Amino acid sequence: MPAIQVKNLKKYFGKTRAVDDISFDVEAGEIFGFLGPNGAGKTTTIRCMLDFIRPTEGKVEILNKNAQCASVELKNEIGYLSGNARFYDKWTGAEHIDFAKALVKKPDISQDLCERFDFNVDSKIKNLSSGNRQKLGVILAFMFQPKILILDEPTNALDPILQNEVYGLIQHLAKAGSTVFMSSHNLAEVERICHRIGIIRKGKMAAIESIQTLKDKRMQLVQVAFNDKFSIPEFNFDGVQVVKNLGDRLVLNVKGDINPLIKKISQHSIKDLHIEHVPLEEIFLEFYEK
Amino acid sequence: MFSLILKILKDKRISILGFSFASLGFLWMYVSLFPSFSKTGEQMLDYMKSFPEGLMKAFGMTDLASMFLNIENFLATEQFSIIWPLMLIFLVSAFAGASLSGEIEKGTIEYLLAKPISRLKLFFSRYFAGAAALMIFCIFSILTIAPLSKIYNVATVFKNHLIFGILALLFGMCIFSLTAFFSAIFSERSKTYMFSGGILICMYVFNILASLKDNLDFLKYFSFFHYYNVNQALTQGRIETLSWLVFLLSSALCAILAAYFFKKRDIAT
Repeated sequence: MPAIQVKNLKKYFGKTRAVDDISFDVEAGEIFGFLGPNGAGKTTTIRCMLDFIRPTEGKVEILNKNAQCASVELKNEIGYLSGNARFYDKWTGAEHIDFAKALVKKPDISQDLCERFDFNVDSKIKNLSSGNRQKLGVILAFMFQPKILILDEPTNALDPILQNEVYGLIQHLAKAGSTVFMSSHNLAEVERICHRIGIIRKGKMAAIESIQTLKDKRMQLVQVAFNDKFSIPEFNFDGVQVVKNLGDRLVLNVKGDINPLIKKISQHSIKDLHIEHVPLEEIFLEFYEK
Repeated sequence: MFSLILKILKDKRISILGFSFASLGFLWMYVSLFPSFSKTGEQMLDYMKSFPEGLMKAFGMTDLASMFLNIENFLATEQFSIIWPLMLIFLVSAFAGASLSGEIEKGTIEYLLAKPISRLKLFFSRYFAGAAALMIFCIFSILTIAPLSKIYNVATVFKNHLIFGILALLFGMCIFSLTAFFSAIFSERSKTYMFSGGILICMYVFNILASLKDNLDFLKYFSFFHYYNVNQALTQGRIETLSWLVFLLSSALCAILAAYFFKKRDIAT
């Protein structure tokens, strides 16, 4: 049974279709990356999952419970972090943590997390930098080691060292059985920690793939220098695209199987051959721009 | 719920105590001035009679002859007709506006909504905290008459002040509930203040028009200020049944509607 099920979710704001009939499942223990350009519907989906806003149609189930009907009960099991976490200016970090402890009566690891992130709990929020506020957000989201983590661009405003700490925490929780749903613009972080990704574009799901499948599918960039004469049309066939003609050499993009191209190249005398994988980011961007 | 209410009151303690002490300061001033005013009452009355009748009605100064007879009449005219209701309106409107629409505007509501608290609990914790703030304000600004009158040796009928305190509390709850309703449906404080302030100004104008023109007398029934009869409560120790009913029903209706819409609405910061 999936830990998170989104079924035919629609959310319209007047005539604007923020989310338009999306469905996906996230398995228990999985780290699911939710990608999409600005305004694609990522945050709207997350807000529906957390019952901040109500779906126009469709439903969200978390831990096999309706996210709207069992909202209060589920929030005992959900850790949430927004990329733009906002807190009470006059409260200290400790007051925020204590308030959370008073509401969620579960053992917590807030002290360990404060030490790990070198977070000063006694400072008032109004005196904290955006990075330190985000640290507090991370501590509040992770402190009860929730079964479900919903993260909306979690590493915003964090420096690379702290980003690594957060990746470590996410992976640790996932190994312990927690399910992580995270939206992100940082494609490198998604490639690094997510098991599967969903790409949303203009409110619709453009693709749901495992990272491994994407890696397998990704394009290869081939640079070949010839000793003899060649013609461009002979390299224009399925899955191959000539990117540049540099006189004695060609730059080609290959999607899928590379063997037909290698066979074609082998009919010529070769001076130099260089093959490299296109970064996964290029694939993400291709989905964004479709 | 109780811990939530305490937390809210602790956060707002400076504004609650600020308003309460300011109002207490006014009360203190009027009580301390009353003995000298009552001695020169005749001269003051002659002076005040020269004011236009409409202006006096607009400010609730309808019974000038008895104004300096006792502290209740004096306070009803000087303190509790204009300054005090204004302070009360500012306090409860600021409280209600900051509580829900203010939290949505600032984005702090997400911190609360992500916790295992129902929206109704969230709403009513803020509603009851507002009621508690109002009660603190009323106790400071009305019931402290007891020690002040002793200090300045002024005779008072404490029962009347107590009854006026109840009327003031009901009037305050009514305005607080109205503002809480707008705070529950809007995401910006400015809209909350604009709508609740607009309605209160209209009500105030209705009450004045009703007192100035006989053919507009019916308008007074659409104004909370008509039911807020300070003179009757302070000098006679009485609250009209209709006032009770209007204040209680309006407060309950606004609170129920506010809770309903807050529970149903989308909250996007």
